[in-house]
Amino acid sequence: MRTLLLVLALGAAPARAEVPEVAPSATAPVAVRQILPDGDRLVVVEDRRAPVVVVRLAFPLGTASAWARRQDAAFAWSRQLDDADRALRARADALAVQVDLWSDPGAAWLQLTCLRDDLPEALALVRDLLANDALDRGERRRAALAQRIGWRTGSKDPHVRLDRAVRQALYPDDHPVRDGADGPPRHRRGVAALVRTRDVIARAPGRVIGLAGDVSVEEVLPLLDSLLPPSEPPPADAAPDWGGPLPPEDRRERTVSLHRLTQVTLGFAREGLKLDDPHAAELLVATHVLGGHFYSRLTRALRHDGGQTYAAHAVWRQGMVSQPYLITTSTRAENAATAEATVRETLRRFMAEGLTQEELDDARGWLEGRDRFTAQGPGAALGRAMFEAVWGLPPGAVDQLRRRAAALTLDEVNGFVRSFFDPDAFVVVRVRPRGAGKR
Amino acid sequence: MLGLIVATALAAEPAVTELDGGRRLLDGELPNGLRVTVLEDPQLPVVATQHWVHVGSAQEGPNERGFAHLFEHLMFGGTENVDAEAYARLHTAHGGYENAWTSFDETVYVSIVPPEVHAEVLAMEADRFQHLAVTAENLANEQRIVTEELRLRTQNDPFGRLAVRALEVALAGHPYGHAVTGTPEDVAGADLDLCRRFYETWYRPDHVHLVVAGPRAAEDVLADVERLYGAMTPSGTLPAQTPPVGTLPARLDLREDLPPVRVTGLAWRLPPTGAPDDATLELLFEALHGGEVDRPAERHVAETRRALHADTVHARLRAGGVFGIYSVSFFAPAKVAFRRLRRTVDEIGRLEWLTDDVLEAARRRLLLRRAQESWYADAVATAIGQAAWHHGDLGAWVDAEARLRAVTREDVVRAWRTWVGEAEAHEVLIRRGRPR
Repeated sequence: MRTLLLVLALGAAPARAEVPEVAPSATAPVAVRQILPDGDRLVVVEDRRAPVVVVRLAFPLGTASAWARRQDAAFAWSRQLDDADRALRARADALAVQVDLWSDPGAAWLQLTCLRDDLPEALALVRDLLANDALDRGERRRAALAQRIGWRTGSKDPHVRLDRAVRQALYPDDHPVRDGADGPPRHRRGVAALVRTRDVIARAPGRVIGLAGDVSVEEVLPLLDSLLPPSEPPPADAAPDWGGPLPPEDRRERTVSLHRLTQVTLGFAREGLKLDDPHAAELLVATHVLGGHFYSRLTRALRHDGGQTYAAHAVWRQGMVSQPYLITTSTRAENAATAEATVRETLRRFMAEGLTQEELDDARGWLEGRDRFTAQGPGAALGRAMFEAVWGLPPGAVDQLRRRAAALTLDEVNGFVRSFFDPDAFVVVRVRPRGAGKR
Repeated sequence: MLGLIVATALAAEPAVTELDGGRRLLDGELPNGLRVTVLEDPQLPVVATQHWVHVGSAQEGPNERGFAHLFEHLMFGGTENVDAEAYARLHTAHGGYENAWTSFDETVYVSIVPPEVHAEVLAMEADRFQHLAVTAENLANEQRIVTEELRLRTQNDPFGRLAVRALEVALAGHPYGHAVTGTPEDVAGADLDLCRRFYETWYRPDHVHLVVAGPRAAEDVLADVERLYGAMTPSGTLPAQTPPVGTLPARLDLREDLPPVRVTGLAWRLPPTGAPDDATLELLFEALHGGEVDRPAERHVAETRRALHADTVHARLRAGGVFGIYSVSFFAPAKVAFRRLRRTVDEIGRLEWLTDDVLEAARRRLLLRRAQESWYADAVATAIGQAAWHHGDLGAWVDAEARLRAVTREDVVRAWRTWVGEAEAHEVLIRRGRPR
């Protein structure tokens, strides 16, 4: 259940919606990488500005694995703090740390942040958490039911419904992107099975131990003894199995109707590129110009020139698996057709005319300027280094993408824009008021 | 910490405080009333600038609901000297960020840029605070945009709808009793005369606190501010005063299109920010629900299975605040759900969980967050602005650690008894149904 009620009630209204973050990179702080004796990898980003350490562990068996999906691995991973005695949670509370557990296509993750002096005890907590084999049955049931209610609650939110409809429009029924799009999650496996699944994840080879903050490699190494269980090969079918989207000819427009809406939420969607695609750099630049800042093409056309919307974005979910690329906006219901035509025309002109040199120069300034913003805290450098480690990318690959993007010529970008941003390559998804007429 | 005197053309000599890590805090006021606070931190790679304008939705008159927020939008419409896009472009071209927010008590304009661009940003900021251009055309366009935002946040979001109705019912008649985004009717009713009056009333130096955090030398920033803002004329009026939140209804009964669950909550009034108990309340709530264990929820759900889910929330503003515990259940009638919740509150209210170790862990969490905040220029600037405007005292930021350490268990016990244990609890009931 969302806890935002009071935040919304007492919160603030910003001048404009947040624009999506362009792939960040930094030249400092620097990640130091080391292979550990058992084959695991260590990444340390030393930053002495504050007596704080971010600990982040990656276990490279994520939701891209068909085995992981069958075993409900993401749910199993998320329940690790729920021991029967509630002792682990109490220890975390007493240590002043907050433990985050999540899964993505590449890995299962564990993160906590602590004061430097608490690092040894925090790592001891991590060790015990990974060894916890007494999950609380009652909590498992409660969490499963709460997630189902959460799913139903999300069904009332037009943006959640748009996201689900986009995934249904672009991907086949059994594709992992569809998880959660077609119905509420069903967590049926008992605690013993969840523990076994968690153990397989925790022992999968290729783990990455990351620390960022007031710590060095030399200081950390003695603390890593017995942190992780011995590694063991996972089941043979644990390898990533992601698959591609539906072929374009099989994609259909979708319209979702909801009660009590006064706006229509629009989405123009197609599959995005993977981060190692040869044209990822071009997409980075193009996304920024099309819908990545306050005077982007979309925001000009839909907000500044006529006030059709409060916000319009182009969103590229960057990663190493195919995920939706989405252009989205919301407008008053009676303006839906006009807004849709505006998006289509903006895309058509973008495809036909490409970027101007001025737009490319501004995008270059944006990409190069982000360095110092992402250097504010050591966590961003840690995140990039660990992402590269999980996906087997060479160190610095994310930074190299940014550099390639900043070095592109107008012809290179526009050649890509002409092929990618054809309006007909996008499938349209709408969430509208129930009872609103069809187009 | 050393307090030094710096000679400038300010109304009074600014105070300079030496902090750890080579940081310095300069706090002063121009003769026209503009307060300037600069945190010079050589370790920050970028500069955050925030203009805290001391007007929010609480200062809106009848038929003006949403106007503070609408005016915030108009501040991005260009000036007599530069077009609307120039400000955004300056930021984007250097990887920077700019935005603003309006809340009940303030409107804050935010900029983050590399240090070499900061002087140029200040010049543009000073320009829009003195030479803003508002035309009928851009007013009409922003009215449309704001109305779309209002639809997005409060009409088309079930939680937004709930929040607005809760405000209107619980705080009826109080300046906080309406959404910051206002109503479509009032937004549509704004005209150029209202814009001009609003600008001339509130966007004056004696209603603004300029906060800068970054690696630039504090004296250099101050010199720029004096040069750029010094000609502004003060309003001569006192800062906005919002009456304290008074009596709340005994029960708030709301319906919304939600899954078939029942939400029951108990809520208590809290004092306005700037109260003597600020540090004590901060520590109390951090110990109660700020860590990995939300103690009321733990008791109500994990330990006793009285509900499917529970959560603890609190928020404080300049004229008052609220603390609440809510639970989610399927089948329990409201009467039973409220009885169970009161029982949990009574059990928590024995304060057996409130040990010295729990308090120390809460302090460590607060200090951990503050340490993380120090990495980010904008987070630091926000904390400084809030300390000054909401707590009336920069010491709430400068001396935060010492103030937390000075809070005793007895202080926390007293605060619980005063504001929760012996105070009136107000009931909140949210059920599935046609929104009302």
